[in-house]
Amino acid sequence: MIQEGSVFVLRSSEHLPHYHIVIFRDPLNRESANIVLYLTSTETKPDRTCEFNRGDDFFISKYSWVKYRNCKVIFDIDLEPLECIGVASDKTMRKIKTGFDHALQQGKIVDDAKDLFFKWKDDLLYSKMND
Amino acid sequence: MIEKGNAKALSKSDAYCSNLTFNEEKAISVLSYLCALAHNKLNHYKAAKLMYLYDREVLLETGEPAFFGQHFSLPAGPIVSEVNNAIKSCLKDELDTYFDWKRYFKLNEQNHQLSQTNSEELYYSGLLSDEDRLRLTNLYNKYKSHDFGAMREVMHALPEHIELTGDERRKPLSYRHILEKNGFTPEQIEELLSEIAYENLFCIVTNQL
Repeated sequence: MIQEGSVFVLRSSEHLPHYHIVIFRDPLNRESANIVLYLTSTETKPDRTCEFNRGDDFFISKYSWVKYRNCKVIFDIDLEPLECIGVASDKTMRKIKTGFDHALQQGKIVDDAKDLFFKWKDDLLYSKMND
Repeated sequence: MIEKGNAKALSKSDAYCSNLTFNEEKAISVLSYLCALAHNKLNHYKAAKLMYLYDREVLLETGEPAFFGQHFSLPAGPIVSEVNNAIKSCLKDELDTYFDWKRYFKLNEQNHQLSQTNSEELYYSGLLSDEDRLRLTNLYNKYKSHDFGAMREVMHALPEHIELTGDERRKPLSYRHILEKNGFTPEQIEELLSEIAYENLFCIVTNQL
């Protein structure tokens, strides 16, 4: 069951693990799409918008940062080849979402993800107004 | 893609990066935006060069290329091979190419002008960010007045360009070479190549390409 905060890894013997996190899902559960970001520990050309240190969450074993420029809309079915290893903490999610707002202002998020994010925000607002 | 003489220094990442899957939709989105900036009249040569300049600028500034294509130095300067082939596929009678971008662009053989088939549309615009559009606008404005000769000089002055000798028609430009010639250390290059290979693999696995 995919949810906001679900952490995925792509098991590959050739690469160090990267942690892919579902940061937004359709709040009304109508779409099987996810806005997904990943953490990388590369020290070259880091984006300082949202950084983590070893132990900040169960899956973070070294300095990592969120690659907002590679934010993607991924459907549930396309996440199937990845392994879900758990759910990120509320603290981690708050931090990544705050970073997402900054990344939006900095223009780093591609339109597909940005548009879906704002659509879901509006959908939620309208659904609450109609309740 | 692998340069002779460097075989010992090549890593697994080099091997992966010599065989990446080209991000065709991203390339179409970028070319579409460039056409819009040029009021739908973009010189063929300039289009190919701007696409290369954009790709290498993204690589040098963010650590990842935009298109994941293969680069080559040609007599008129570096290019992204797939982009060049794809642009050629827009010629009216061109059939012999792997790509077919005719439904997006048309290339006029007489005046070498590239234009969108539908000037009202921006193809795959969802793949661009505001940062991408700003980078493309700056790049276009910087070179919009450059003629062929001036553009050729710009391309030949790039640190990574390899001058061809004798009857050489092209030389591969690996990501390692481009990064090396632009001041990245061997350790940084190794990290970036690994990241590039991973991102490309992830996109393939999750059907993003």
